[in-house]
Formats: sequence, C-alpha cells, structure tokens
Amino acid sequence: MSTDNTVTAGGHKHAHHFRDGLHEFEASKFGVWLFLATEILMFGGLFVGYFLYQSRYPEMFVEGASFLDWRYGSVNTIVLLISSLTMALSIHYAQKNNKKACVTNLVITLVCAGAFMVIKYLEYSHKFHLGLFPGEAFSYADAVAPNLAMYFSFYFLMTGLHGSHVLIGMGLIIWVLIRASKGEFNSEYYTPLEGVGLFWHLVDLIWIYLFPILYLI
Amino acid sequence: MASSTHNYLNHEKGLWSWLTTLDHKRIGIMYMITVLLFFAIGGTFAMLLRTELIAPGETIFGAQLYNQAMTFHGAIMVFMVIIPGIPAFIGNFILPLHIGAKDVAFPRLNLLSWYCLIVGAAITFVSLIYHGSDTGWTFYTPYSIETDNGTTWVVLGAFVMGFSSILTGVNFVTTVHKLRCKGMTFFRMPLMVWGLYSTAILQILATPVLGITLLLLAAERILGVGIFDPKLGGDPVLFQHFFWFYSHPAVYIMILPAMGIISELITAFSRKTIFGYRAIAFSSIGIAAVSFFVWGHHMFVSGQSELAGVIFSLLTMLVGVPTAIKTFNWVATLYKGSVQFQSPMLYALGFLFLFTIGGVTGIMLATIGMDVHFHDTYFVVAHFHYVMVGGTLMAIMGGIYYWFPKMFGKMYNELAAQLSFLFIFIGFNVTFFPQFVLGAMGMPRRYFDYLPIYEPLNKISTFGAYMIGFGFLIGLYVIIDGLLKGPKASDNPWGAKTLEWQTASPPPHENFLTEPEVTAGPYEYR
Amino acid sequence: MSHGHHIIPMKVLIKTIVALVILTGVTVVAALDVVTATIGSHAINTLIAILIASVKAYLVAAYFMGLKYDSRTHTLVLISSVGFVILLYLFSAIDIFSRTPIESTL
Repeated sequence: MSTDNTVTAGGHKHAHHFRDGLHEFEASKFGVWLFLATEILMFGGLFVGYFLYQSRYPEMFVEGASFLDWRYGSVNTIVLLISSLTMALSIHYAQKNNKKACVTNLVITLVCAGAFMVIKYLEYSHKFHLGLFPGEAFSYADAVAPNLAMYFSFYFLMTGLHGSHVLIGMGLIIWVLIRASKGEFNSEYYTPLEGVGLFWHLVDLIWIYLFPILYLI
Repeated sequence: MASSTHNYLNHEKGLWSWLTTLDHKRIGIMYMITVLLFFAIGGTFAMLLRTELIAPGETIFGAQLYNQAMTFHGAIMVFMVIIPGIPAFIGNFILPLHIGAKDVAFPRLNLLSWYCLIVGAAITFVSLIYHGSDTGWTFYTPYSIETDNGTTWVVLGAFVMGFSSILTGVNFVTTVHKLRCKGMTFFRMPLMVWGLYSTAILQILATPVLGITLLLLAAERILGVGIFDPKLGGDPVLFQHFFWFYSHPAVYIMILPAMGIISELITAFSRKTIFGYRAIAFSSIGIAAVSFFVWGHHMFVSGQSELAGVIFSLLTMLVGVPTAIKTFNWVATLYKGSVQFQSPMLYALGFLFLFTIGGVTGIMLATIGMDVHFHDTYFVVAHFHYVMVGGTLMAIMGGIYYWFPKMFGKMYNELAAQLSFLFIFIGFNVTFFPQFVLGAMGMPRRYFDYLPIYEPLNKISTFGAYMIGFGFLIGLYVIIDGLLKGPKASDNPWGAKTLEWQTASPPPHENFLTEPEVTAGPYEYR
Repeated sequence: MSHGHHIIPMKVLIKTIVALVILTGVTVVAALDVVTATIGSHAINTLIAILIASVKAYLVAAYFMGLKYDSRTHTLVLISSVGFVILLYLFSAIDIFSRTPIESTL
C-alpha cells in the first residue's frame, strides 16, 4: 500500500491540485458518498409519500400489493445482491492486480443487472396487460378500493426511478468494464471502479427496501 | 511581482478555452456573467410587475400575463440568481484561494454544474412558447397540475438547475474537507468558507427533495399519477410539505454565503479582527441545521394541523438566535475599528440595516396569530425582499466590488459605485417599506389589481423600483467601465489579510506560486 | 485521516453474501400469510420487514461498500441523509395525523 508522487505504476497521473494519487482517491470517495446522500434523499421522498399514504389507505395498499408476485421480487433481490458481491469482487481483484478476474466479475455484474431489467419487463408487461397503468391510463375495472390507481402510481414511480438507476448503473459498469479490460486499473489506481461500485451498491440498497414494502406488505 | 503578465485570464485564449475550462476562477467568471444576465431578465420582469401595479385595474397587462410575469420573476430570481449567485460565482472564484488550494476538488463536475444551470435555464425559457407558467414559483397543487401552459417545462428546467446546485455542494464540502493547505485548520479558515461550507451541506441535503417533488409534479401533469390530487385521495398539502422541505433551507442557501461575505467585508473595512469568530462559525452550522426544522411556517393557513403549526412556529423563533449572534458580532467588530466607507463597506453596512429589518419581520411572521393576518399579503413580499435583496443582493454587490480588483486586476470608479449604492439602497427602501404597510392593510400578493385605497403606497413603491433599476444601471456602467478602462489594481488594494490577497491580481492559473503555509487566523489586523 | 487502499478480505465478502441471502429468505418467510396472521398487526409486520431490510442494508454498507473500514465521516454522511428523510416523514406525519376532521357544511 504505497502512496505515489505523480505517476502510479499503472500510469495514472493524479490531478494537479491533489498531493498524490491517494489524496485524489480519498477525495473522490468522499465526493461519491456525498452524491449518494442526494440519491437517498431523492428516493426518500418517494418512501415518505408511500408510508404516509399507506397509513391512510391500508386496505388499498394491500389490494395493490396482491398484484405483485413475491417470487419475481425475491429473484430480483437475490440477483441484485449477487451483483453487489461481484461488483465488490471486481474491486477486490483490481486491488490485487488481477485484471482477468476484475473484468469477469464486472461482466457478471452487468449480466445480473440485465437479468433484473428483464424480470422487471416481465412484471411490467403483466401489469399493463391487466390495465394496471400509472396515472390516468389506469384502467383496471375490478378494483375494490376506489383509488387503487394511487398504489400503482407509487409502484411505477418507485420501481421506475429505481429501474432508471439500474440502467444508468449498467452504463457506468460498461464504462469501467472497457477501461478495466484496457488495463487502466491496478492496485494503485481504481478510483472510477470504486465510485461506480458505490453507486451500484446504493442501487442494491434501495431495492433492499423496495422489495419488502412493495411485495411483502 | 509581475502580476499582469501571466494570469488565469490570459492563461489560454479563445471562447472554446473558456467553455471547456477546468479552472475554478474562469468557471466563477462564467457564472458571474450568466447570473448577472439572468438578474437583468428577472429584474425586467420585476419592472413590468411594478409598472402594472402603479395603478388599480389593468395598466399594461391583465391577470393572465401578470401571473406569468410574477411566476417568471420569482423562478428566475430564485433558481437562476440568488441560489447560484454567491456560491457558484463568488464562491467558486474565492473558495480555493481562501484555503490555499489550487482548485476545487472536482473541476470537471464544476464545469458540469455551470452547464446544468445553462441547460436548465434554457428549458425554463422554452416554456415561454407555451405561455410559461402562472402558478407562482411555488407551483402549489392542484392548480399547478391543472393549468394548461408550459408549467411542465419550467418545473423540469428547475429540476436540471437543481443538479447545478447539488454538484456545487458536493464540490465545496469535499474541497473544504480535503484541500486545505498546510496549517489551515478549520478554525483558521475565513468565515466566508464557513458560510460556503454550511451552504454546501444544505445544497446536498435539501435539493434532492425538491428534485423528487418537481419530478412528481411533472408526473402528475404528464401521466396524471395523482399523488397530490384530492380526486384520487391525494393530499395537496403534502406537496407543500415536500416543496418547503427544500425551499426553506433554500433561503438559507441564499443567505449563509451572503453572511460569509459580510464577515469578510466588515473585518477588512474596520481593519480589525472579527468579534467572536467561533460564534459566527458555529452559528453558520447552527442556522443550516435549524433551517430543516421550520418549513411549516410557510403553511400555517394551508390546512396544516394546529399542532404542527405550533411546533413549526416555536422552532422558527429558534433560528433567529444564531442569526442575531452574527449580527451582534458584526456590530461589535465595527466598534473601535478603523472604519473605511468605501463601496464594499457601504453594501455591508446596508446589509446590516436591511437584513435586520427583514429578519425581525420574519419573526413576526413566525408568530402564527400574526401570520394568519399577514399570509399571502404584501407584508410577506416585503419581508422576503428585505432579506433576499436587502440581504443577499447587497452582499453580492459588496462582494463584486471587494473582489473586483482581485478577479480582473483593475480598479473600478469608486464615486460611481457609491452613487449606484445610494440609488439602490434608497430606492430599495422606497420600494419595499410601503409594502409592509400595504400588507398590514390587507393588500393580497400575486394580484394584478387592487382596491383604490392601496393606490398611493403602490405608486411610491413603483417609483422606488425605478430608482433601484436606475441604480443597477449605474452599477452595470461601473463594472463595464472598470473592466475596459479601470486603472491597474495592486495585489492587495484593501490591505486585507485573507490568502487571496497574498497572491497576484489577477491570480496566476495555479493560484499561488508556492503552496501557502498558514500559521495564524485569517483576520490578524492588530 | 488517510485510510489507504484497504482490501476487503474474500472471506468477509463471502460471509456477507451468505448472510444477505439468508436474510432475504427470512424476509419472505416473515411475510407469509401464516406468520402475518400469528403476529396480528399489519403495522408490526411492516416494521419487522423494515428492520430485516435495515440489517441487510447495514451488511451491504459496512462490508460491500467498505464503510466499516472507511473514515467515519462517510458513515456520518449516510446516517445524516437517512436522518433527514426521517425528519421529512416525521413532521409531515405530525401534521397529517393530528388534523381534526371537519364536517363539510356544503
């Protein structure tokens, strides 16, 4: 674990306003955590809205949740958890200068993310088929609760915002995957990998909460 | 020291070098130009409003256009001027210099934040094709859902501009934590930095909630998701909770950096160390913290419960305490100081007077009984203009004149600057003091028309607005004249002690020729 | 406060994923109708689900994201952001749940 002066073993030059590569790494990590705080607060608003209305219309929320299949949700949860593991592993191997293992784990992470989106697509199509749309397009005729549409507003907004972050995450993973396969990361420098990793774990964290409150209530 | 030969302004040439710059100083100047431009546009809308209000009935336009103009005046001033105004313009330029750093932590994110502001503003202005928005900058539901115009564009524009604020916040917090030079402990930082730091924390914690609120509003308008729609069992007051959870801390995003500037100006132009450095530093953090607990004071008459109202009222009183501490400390700094009345100091003194009035009237509004009478009247309009214009804008002007020689290596015309101040200061009071009276008399805000009894005071107020406009035109002349023909400024024309004055005017690209090492506080005048 | 490039041990990562998968199973079981019926209250059920989720979240944050080995400032950032979400909920809830309904006179 050495600190470098200007150029690391892998050829990365730290920016001029940092003392060395380690200084840059620490600052970047801190910056990413601050950004994650903003994501937590943004999603948090949706969770707050969800809980406030769930207390008001408990039966309506139960009725809405009955349309969700906990098996799909569970599989998606496991898929994301595994992707978090492989993401952490890719960093682990980069730190050990094992380029091949790093890249392999990034690929698996990407595949898991893709699997998540496929399952999401299946769930969404099933709901659309029944007329369960967000907002004005909601056309399910056999609702017991008169405002069942609101449940699905929350469902689509929360999973939609989360899903868009999965897609963004996939883009970021592809970016670091390309850089990793070019040999740009090593034990001295893997900052982008760390940053993308933290973002990806956040995506997992949000789903860890979404799963029970949407599927298991 | 050869200061005019090689500096950040001539380090690279050409427009493209500016648009792709990673230099915090250049990014600060780019923000300066855009913020001043937006201020001119927002100010024009203000002049239109005041012109309409010079007499009852329709003067230059009717209700529809008035509502659009007042929405744009508010949205532009809030999102494009006052929120980015100090942090992104002055803060970007000064923060690294104040802590002896070569740049902010994330220069590329810094540039991105500027583009977010530009793109967000462009999206907002596109809405004008669809008659803009007429909801007021607060976008209250359900009207904001139903109104058939470009409101979605304005809302999405504000969303994008929010990213500008968030990126600045992330950058500044990291910069303060990680890039302080040798010897620069937290308690040796200039108070400007404490102000920017507390602001940055607010930008990180509060702005995302605005983000989701605006997204939800857009989703309501586009998809009809109905979370705030009573027809679907939604609660329109919940929109207000979400909106003000950001927008109240937002006003502290507006004032905390201003207070930072005032600390700098008061100490430099009294040639005396600041009174109660730690008290001011901690009160910045304290104000930032308490600001999150008071948002319901915007909602006393909205349908919020009495219990919630009482809690919010009590907590709001609390925020006056750290604010007052600062004010007392500034005044104490003046005492037995060697006070110089140059234009930056005039603005600082103007701030003390105007912000105190604004702050005290805020406490009046925090009292529920009084707020029931004052809510949605001109009393509120006067209150927030006293704190935002009399407060933040005064500080921006003081900061511009104070740091003008540092930023551009030239001096401006002091006499013209003082004349500008006079028109702005007097004009401001002529415009807004009558509005306290109008509000107490019951004149509602956001109306293009009013009862004849309000006419005399409205005429005075409009006259004052023209004085302010004239004052700012003189100010514009001062800046342009200074840029084009100003005499060369020395490295430290004010004899101030903070680090930016220990390097050339304008600074070199790398800020300091050798990394500074700090062994004392920032205001060691005696 | 430099923490360097800390490498999270493979054993730790594996133990974490195993725990996470098991806890996912617990979450699902706890939500089964038979268990819900035994507990009785829907609200308690929700609370249990959130608690288990929080344990999982802790594991992801501490070990996958490396908070356990990082500067404590990072943990403060995470806790604060969650704290402010709770604040938004708390005060909005105080309002909503203390409103006294009024009969419409229309």
